[in-house]
This record gives sequence, structure tokens and C-alpha cells, in this order.
Amino acid sequence: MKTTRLQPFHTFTIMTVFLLGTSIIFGTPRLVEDTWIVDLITLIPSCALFMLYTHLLVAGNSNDLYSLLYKIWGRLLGQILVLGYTVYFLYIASRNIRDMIELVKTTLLADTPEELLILLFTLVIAYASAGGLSAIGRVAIPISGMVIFFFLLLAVLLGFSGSLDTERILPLLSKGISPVINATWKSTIWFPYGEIIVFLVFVNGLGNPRRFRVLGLAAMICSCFVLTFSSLLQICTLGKENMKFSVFALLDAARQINIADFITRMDALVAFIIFFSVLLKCSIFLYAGTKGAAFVFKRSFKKFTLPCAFLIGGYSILVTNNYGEHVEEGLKHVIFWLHIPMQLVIPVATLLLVWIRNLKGEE
Amino acid sequence: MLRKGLLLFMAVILCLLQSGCWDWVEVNQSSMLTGMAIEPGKNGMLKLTMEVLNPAEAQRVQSSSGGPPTLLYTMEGKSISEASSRMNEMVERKIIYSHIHMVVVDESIARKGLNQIIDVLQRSRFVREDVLILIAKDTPASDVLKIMYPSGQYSSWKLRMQIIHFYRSWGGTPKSTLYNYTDAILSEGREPVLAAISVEGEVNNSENSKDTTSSIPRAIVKCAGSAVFKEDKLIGFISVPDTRLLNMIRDKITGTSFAVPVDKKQGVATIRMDPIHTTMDVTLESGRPQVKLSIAGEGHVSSIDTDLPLDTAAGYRQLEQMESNFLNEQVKSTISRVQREFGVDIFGFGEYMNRHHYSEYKLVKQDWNGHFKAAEIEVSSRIVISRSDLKTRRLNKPDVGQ
Repeated sequence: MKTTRLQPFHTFTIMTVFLLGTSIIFGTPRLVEDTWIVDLITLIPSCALFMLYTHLLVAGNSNDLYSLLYKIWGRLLGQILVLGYTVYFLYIASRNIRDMIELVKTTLLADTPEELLILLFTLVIAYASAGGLSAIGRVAIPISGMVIFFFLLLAVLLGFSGSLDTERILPLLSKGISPVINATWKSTIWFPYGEIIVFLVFVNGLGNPRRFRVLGLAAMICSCFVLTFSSLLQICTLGKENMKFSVFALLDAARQINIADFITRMDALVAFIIFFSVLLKCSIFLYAGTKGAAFVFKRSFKKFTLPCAFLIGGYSILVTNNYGEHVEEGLKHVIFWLHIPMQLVIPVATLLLVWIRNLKGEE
Repeated sequence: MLRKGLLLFMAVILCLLQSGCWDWVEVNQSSMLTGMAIEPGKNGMLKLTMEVLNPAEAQRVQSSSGGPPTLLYTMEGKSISEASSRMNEMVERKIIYSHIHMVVVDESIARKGLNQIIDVLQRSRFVREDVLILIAKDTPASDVLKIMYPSGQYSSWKLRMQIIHFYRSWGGTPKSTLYNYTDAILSEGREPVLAAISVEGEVNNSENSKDTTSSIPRAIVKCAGSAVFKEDKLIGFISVPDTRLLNMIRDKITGTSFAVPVDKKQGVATIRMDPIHTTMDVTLESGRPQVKLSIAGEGHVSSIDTDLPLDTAAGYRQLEQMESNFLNEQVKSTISRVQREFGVDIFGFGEYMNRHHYSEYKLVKQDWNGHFKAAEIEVSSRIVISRSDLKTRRLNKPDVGQ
């Protein structure tokens, strides 16, 4: 395997933008009123989850997930698991594209057929991921700059247009702390933080596991603060009750921007944020997916890039019939049937096996 | 070479695709919708009157051919959405909804409830959150849009400017945008208010652009205070002075003038307040809400009819005292009038309590409006008058011998 390692800064930005990605637009799932507390609290379990992942690599003495699975579970089971992860990553990528398409279709290009949008977009992500990790790393720098810049611009403009009312945060925890904790383990750990498992596939390119652990934790803390700030911004602009009804909370907040009847309709900023972050997220998932296919079928990953990209694109249309189904699937079924097994059960089982094998090895 | 040629070909194709001609609209084939009036139509349908800009005449500067700046079209439909998407039955241009200024709602529709019309406004991506929602009082909603003005401005623009400036200078109209309404509907412990407008004069004589040549407008739209709602249903109106005090109690006022009576006769001192702030505290004492309002403001004297010694500190103190007492009385009477006549909390006392004393509010949440009716109000104001423009005392000839 070619080891073109990324600079630490590149690794950090990739992971930060990856975590902010779509969740900055859709916000924390609004299961409870105090979403920003959910954002803050989630940091602790998700950091623990991340420590589990890196420990898995260290204990298994391996530098990427696929070869570890192959080594631990044996030839047949290992290949099945690797293929399972491949499908899982491609599936998440197609859901992300669908997220973006939903926003674009409702706000910007209502009359453009979505097939065309998806075709153009998949060509771009195929090109990005065919360039490999170093290309994704390089593209992550301007993307992170733009995402953070547009987001801060939104915050500043909202502040100047006088839409922020800090009173709206109150009352705090009106229904007690337990719904907040519930929301944490039911959704926020798995999305966006749990999705960081995709990086285990190419730790090799990101530096050694120890450095990967430090950078990953830094990226998680950083994006946790940005997401909390984003939730606070949405609450202060829209109010808790209003947020529950909005499809894209940050977009609805951006619609409130009005500075002297001159700077208005900043919807485009939100669209830019989602374009860029979905571009990065999808190319990472696509890269991880093609790596998995390459691992199983022993071919160059570039051979799989274009077919997989079209697969993602096509599947993003087929994945749901309407927005309601999309949200329900994302909040319920995907979490229980995909996220928890793939992000928790299989890694924990693998870790147990690693321990058993290590013990046996010592005897 | 072939590879490069292929790349170039692809780039050209992509450029063509990127031009985004999918939803093109030519400027000369489109027209902006600026205002909308909603009235009850026949058989329970909604009658929609749309004010569409006449591009050649709107915003005319010097010369004009005398045509109207806007055209009105009327359409009936089961919902606003249905009627507005059928507008092209009679209009030749594609209508652009993004620049709508206001929606005027007829009183009878508002009494039945705004829920039947509000969703399309909240949902549509074209309608901005700061579109004004106004209630036409004692007049058909479409009349508001029918009046033409000599200045050449179209009705909804004139009315929007009027409302913005009236709010800024005197605070006599509530904040009445779509967003304010949504916010109030969703908030716990506060009922919505919207601006009310009414038409004065003869509408029939001012629909024609020839009628605008007179310097005395035959008909004019004026702000008529606020419409008070209970949930989404209109239950009554409060006057312009009460609306100003409502704005003041909610701490949503930028500046205003008070005419404070300063002696037993007709003498008043007009004091321009800028800025003025109100803080509230609402607590529950033995099941009865206690509202404490404290008003703090700074102002200057803009006119005075009596010989109050405005060149001494004592004179200022006296005037400050008079204004404080006056304000306390006015605020109390406004609140008690609302308590008595409507019995709905439009001031946001419940909202404050929900936010700051949640455990107490939980006890009265079920019937907050009932508790509001019985609330005890306590007002204190601290007014500072800092200057008196260009003169000290009122100019008069000093009495002989003094």
C-alpha cells in the first residue's frame, strides 16, 4: 500500500469538516428542546467511542480497519465484514447526497431535475476520491476555510440584524435531564460522531495510531464547540418551538438576516456550506468504500471509483420516496440497524477477539 | 492529444450545463407581486386581491404617462395557494412572489382564525419572514390596496413605509411581520397582536389616477392600533395610544413622545423619550400573578405650555416626577383595560414567567389567561429628563415687579 502521509493539519481539517458536514445544516435532531446541551454532553461518550476505535487499532497492531478485520475474523468472515463496511459507507454517502439534494431542490434549483444535479455532483466526488487521500486532504483546507467562514459570517450578520435574542434559551431543561441524555445515546453519538469510524480505514495515510488519536480528539472537541454554537445560534434566532417545525434550521435562521433592508436573503451561504461539506464527506466515504472493494477483490481502488460513484448517485434517488421517509429512516432505522452494529457492536466484538487472541498468543 | 480534446469537449459541455437555464424567467415577461388582500368570497372561498407592479409606471421619477403604478387582480379560490397559482387566468406575465410587502387580511377572516391562510406564507420559500400581516378594520381588505396616492407610490409600499416610520417615531403600531406572528403563536404565555389599519375617506373617489391630482387626499389608509388575538382568532382591537404602551411594556419601542399634563388646566409638556426601556418581573404569590414593571427612560423637553422653571434642577425634578406618575397611571390603565376587555396576555408576562420562573409557571400553565386577568400590576418608572432643546423656560415677558 502506498503510504503518502498527510500533514497533521490536513488530517485535523479533514476530520473537523467531516464531523461538521451535514450536521451543521440539519442540526442536532430536535428530539428535545435544549439541543445545545445535547451537543455538549455528547462529546464525552463519543470521545470514549473514538478511544475505543484507536485502542482497537493499537491492540490489534494494525494500521487500518480492513486488514485488521481480515486478520482477526479470518478469510471468509473478514471478507464479508469488509464488504459490509463498504456497503455501509456507500449507503451513508448516498444519504448525504440525498440530504444535499433535498436542500437544493427546496431552496435553489426547484425546477432542475435532480438526476442532473446528482450526475454532476457524483462526477466531482468521483474525481476527488480518485485522487486518493492526499487530494482529499488538499481540498479539505479550502473547504474547511469556506465552511467556517460562511458559518461565522452567518453568525455575525444575524447579530447585526438584531435577530439574536438570548432570552429564548430559557427555560433550561424544562423537562429534566433524562430526555437530553436519551437523545444523546439515541442519535447524536452515532451521527455525526460515530461516523468517524470511516477514518479507521486509512489511518495508515493519516499518521500512526497515536497521532491519529490526538488529532481525532482535537477535531471532535473543535466540531463539538462549533455545533453547540450553531445550535445556540438557531435557538436564539428562531426559538425552541419554532425550530421543531423547520426542515433546515440553519437555513430558516439565515432567512432572518436583514441588515437595513439591504443585506437580505443569505440562503446561498447555507447552500454553500452544505455543498462543500457534502462534497468532502462523500468523497471520504466513497474513498473508504472503494478501498474496501479493492481489498476484497484485489484490484486498484481507482477501478471502483466511477462505478461506485454512480451507484451512490443512483441510490440517493432510490433511497427514499419523500422527505418524511428520509428523516424517519435516518433517525430510527439507520441508527438501530446500521449505525449501532457497525459503529459499536462489530468494533467491540473485534476488540474482544483481539484480546482473546493476544491472551492465547502469550500462553 | 485525443485525451486533451476529450477533456476540452467535456469542459465545454459542463459549462453549458452550468448556465442554469432550467428555471429562466425573462424580465419583460414577469411582474412582481407587491401586496395581497384576503377577503371572504362566495361559498366559503377566499377572495384574493393581488397588487401587481406595473413596471413602466412604478417608481416614476419626473415624467409619467399617468398610468397606475400597480394593477389589481381579483381571484377566488379554496386556498391562497390555489388562487395565486391560477392568477395567469387573467394576468399575462409570470408573477414573482419574492418581493411581496404585505398581506392585508379582512377582519371577518381574522375572526374565523388566521390558521386557514397563514401556512402558505410560512411554508413558501419565496415569502420572506418580514412580510407584514395587517388586519383591515371596518373596511374591506382590498380597499386598502385600491387607493392611489399623488406621490406615485403604490399602496403597499406607501403603507409599509408608513408603518415602519410610525413605529420608529411614535411606536404606535406593533411589530407585525409574519415572523412576529409565528413567534407569538408558538411562544408559551403570550398571545399575538397584529397591526390594524383602516381607510378614512371615500375609496370610490380615489381609485383613479385622475383623483390623485388634488392636494387633499380623498381617502387615506391609517394605522388603527392593534388587533388582539386569542390563539389564531381575532377578538378585538386596541387603540393607537394603547398600542404604544403595549410596545413600551414589551420593551420593543425605539422612541416616542409623551404629552404630560403639568397643571390643572390644559397645560402639557411634551417630552420626547429616546431611549426607553422596561424590565418586568412576574412572580406568583398565593396563586395570583404579581407583575412588577419598571420603566427607565431618558428624554428631552420638546414643548411646554406652562412656566415650569426649566433652568433649575428642581424644575427638572418636578417634571420628571410628573412624567413618572403619568406613565405609571397610563400603563396601569392600559393593562387593566386589556385584562377587563380581552382577558388575554398580549404583554408576554406569561412568557417571562415561563422563561425565568419555570417551576411557578407550571402551576398556572393550564389557564394562564385566566390568571392574567387576575394579575396584580405594579409599575414604577424612573424618568430622566436631560435637556430642553434650545430654550430653558417658556418664552414670556417677565411680570413687572419681579
